[in-house]
Parts: sequence; C-alpha cells; structure tokens
Amino acid sequence: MAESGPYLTEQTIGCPECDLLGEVGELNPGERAKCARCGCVLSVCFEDPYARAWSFSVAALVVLAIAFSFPFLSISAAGVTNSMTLVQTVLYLAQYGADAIAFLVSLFVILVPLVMLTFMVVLTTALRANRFHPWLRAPTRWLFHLNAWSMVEVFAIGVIVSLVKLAAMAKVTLGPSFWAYLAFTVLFLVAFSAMDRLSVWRDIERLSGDRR
Amino acid sequence: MTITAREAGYDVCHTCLALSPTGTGHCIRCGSHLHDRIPDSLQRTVALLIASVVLYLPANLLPIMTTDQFGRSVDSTIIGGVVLLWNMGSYPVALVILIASVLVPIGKILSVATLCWTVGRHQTISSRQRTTLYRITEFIGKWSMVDVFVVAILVALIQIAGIIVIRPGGAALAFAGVVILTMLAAESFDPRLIWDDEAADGGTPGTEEQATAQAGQRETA
Repeated sequence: MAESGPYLTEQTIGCPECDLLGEVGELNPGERAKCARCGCVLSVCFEDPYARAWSFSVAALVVLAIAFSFPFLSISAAGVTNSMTLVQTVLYLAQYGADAIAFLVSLFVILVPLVMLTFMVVLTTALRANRFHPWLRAPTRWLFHLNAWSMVEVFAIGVIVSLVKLAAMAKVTLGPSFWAYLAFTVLFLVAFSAMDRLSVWRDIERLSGDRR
Repeated sequence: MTITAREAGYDVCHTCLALSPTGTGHCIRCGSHLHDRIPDSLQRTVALLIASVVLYLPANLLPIMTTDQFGRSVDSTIIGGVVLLWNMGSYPVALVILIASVLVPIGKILSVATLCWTVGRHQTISSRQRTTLYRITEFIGKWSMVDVFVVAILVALIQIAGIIVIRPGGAALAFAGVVILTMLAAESFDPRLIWDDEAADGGTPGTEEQATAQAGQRETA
C-alpha cells in the first residue's frame, strides 16, 4: 500500500477502539465526532478550549497550593485535638510502616495530577500563542496516558466517606484545605476535559509545519 | 467506506488517532510507539487477571485496619467495615464501600475475563455490547481505590496517643494491588480484538449501524 491510499484524505483517522477508518473534519463548539461502528468518541469540540484549559489549570494549581498550606481536618476526642495537613497524611502513613501505601496515595492523588497540570499549563500557553516547541511532544503524549492514573475525584469521595466514619468516633472540624481540595478536584476535571486529543495533535501538527 | 486501518495497511495511533503505514513503528504525527494490535494482548491480560484474583484473597481475609482503643485492639476487614457502617445506620456510605470495594473489583475481574473468553469464539453477545462492557470496565477501574484512601486518611488522622490509634493492615496494600492489577489488565486488553472477529466472519456485520457507516458521525452534545 502506498503512503497515502486512494481513500485517505487529510481528515481520515482511525478509531482507536475498533480500527475503522473515519473522516473527522473541523467541528463546531458543542459537537462531538463518534466512530460509526463502535460509537467511540473520537473528538469533542469546545469554545476556545485552550483558554479554558489554561485558566482552569492555573486556578487548580492555586487552590492546590492553598490545600497544602492549611490544616485539612482536625478532630477532638477526650479533650485532645489533633489537626492534620495533607503532607502529614503521607508522613503519618510512612511512619506507621505503610510506606507503600503512602507512596501510592501521594502518587495517584498528588504527583500525577500535579505533573498533568504543569504539562497542561505549559502546553496551552504555547498553543494559545500559536507556538510549539519540539520538546513539548513527549510531555503531551504522557499527558493523555497519565489521566487514567489520576485519582483526584476518587480521593475526594474517600475524604467524604472517612468523615462519616469519623463522626461516629470524634468531633470533626473541616479546615480550609478540605474546601480547597474539593475545589481543586472540580477545577482539575474541567481543565482536563477541555483537552481533546485529536484537536491538540492536529494543532501541534499545523504549528510544527511538517509531519515527522 | 467501511474498511479498517489494518485492511488499508495502516496502524492507528492510540494517542492522536493518526494513521501511519503498517510497520513504521512510531506514529508519524506524535511519535508514539505503534503496533497493529497490542502484542500478546490476551496473554498479558489473562496473566494480570490471575495475579489480581490471587491478591484478592488476602485483600479480603486480612484486616484492612486495626483500631487500638483503651488498650484493646480491634481488626476490621473490608466486609467487616461494610457491616459495621450498615449497623451504625450509615446506609449510603455502607453502600459506597460495598459497591467500590466488593462489587466493582469482582465485576471488573468477571468482565475482563468475559472479554478475553469471547475473543475469537462464536458470539452471543454483540461486538457493540462487548465494547460497552470494555468501556465501563475502564471507567470504573480507579473507583475501587476509595477504601484504600479511607484507610490512609483514618490512619493519618486518628493518632491520639494512649487513647485511640488506627494502624493500616495488610489488606490495604493487597487491595491496592488488586485495583492496580485490574487496571493494568483492562489497559492491556486491545478492544480491536473484539471487532477483528467481525471482519473474519465474512466482512460486513449485518447490524443497522452499518447503514449509517459513512464513518465519523457528527452529533451535537
């Protein structure tokens, strides 16, 4: 088969879930392109996606910084009060011999989302300025694969479940970090949802001038 | 145009959906590593699945956490935790834990096993239904981590020396292992294998989707 077969156009792509060829052209905001055979969502178009991803990512980084700086929760039982920050969660776990759990929690809940946010801010800054640097190629690939391992929203549910369990044992007071982390969860999810893999890579291709 | 990339002599990139001629090795657009199908997809998936079933035993038999209160130590298992919450009257939370820690992992193991079993066999479940099963499995994967996070938070928070201390148990790590292994199993399963059968069965599957098969349907969300 030649480099570009008779039925391939600039807009031909393949479905990653069922391998069927399909044409996806420019979409309008609010439109989605789905595979005709398996229904896999191939592309989603948002109004000004990079501005949206950029602003929500920056906001998410700000509230994450707040979440790190203040007490997360404090509990009182039998006249003793114990207050804890996010970093202490990890340190206490490590101290109680659960190093592996401490590592997994910090990886899925803090490290992966933080790396994704950093990549998103850098990438959308470049794309909004209509620029692309070849060294951004690898982080952009990782960004889309890392998402499966970000458990920000799962942790948020875990916090709420623990509150219910704790309420039975002691008096619980929510710290500023608790609210900041919930805000971070929402901002992070909205920021990433604006990153459509097909549009991102088509824009990168356009900006880097040639295929390689 | 109802032809697959494989039939046309191309590999689909998993990262950016671009088509590169088969055998190129790396995507011509984004540089991702390419393969026609995930190599040894079924063997890898089944191996990871067996490992997760093995770890599922200690995850349920060992205590997930130990509570030391007034000099007394109480172990609790995952199921024990659900029962305790239910008896306390926290029905919604008991249900969350039951679904996330018991139903989701078992459901995932069964659905990945079903997906592997049905590849290359005569089908009673349509490819479209199996693809839906695959997507649900991928989507719910990380949600079983809830219980591990709950233990992490409780351990970190409940440390009032001499009065009450919570320590993580062996099941916490085993259970985290189950979740990670089932996520890896779902990731190493290549959903295109589901559809490869259709092509092998003689070309066009006789479903109504095919009528609108001018690929790349548009829809307004």
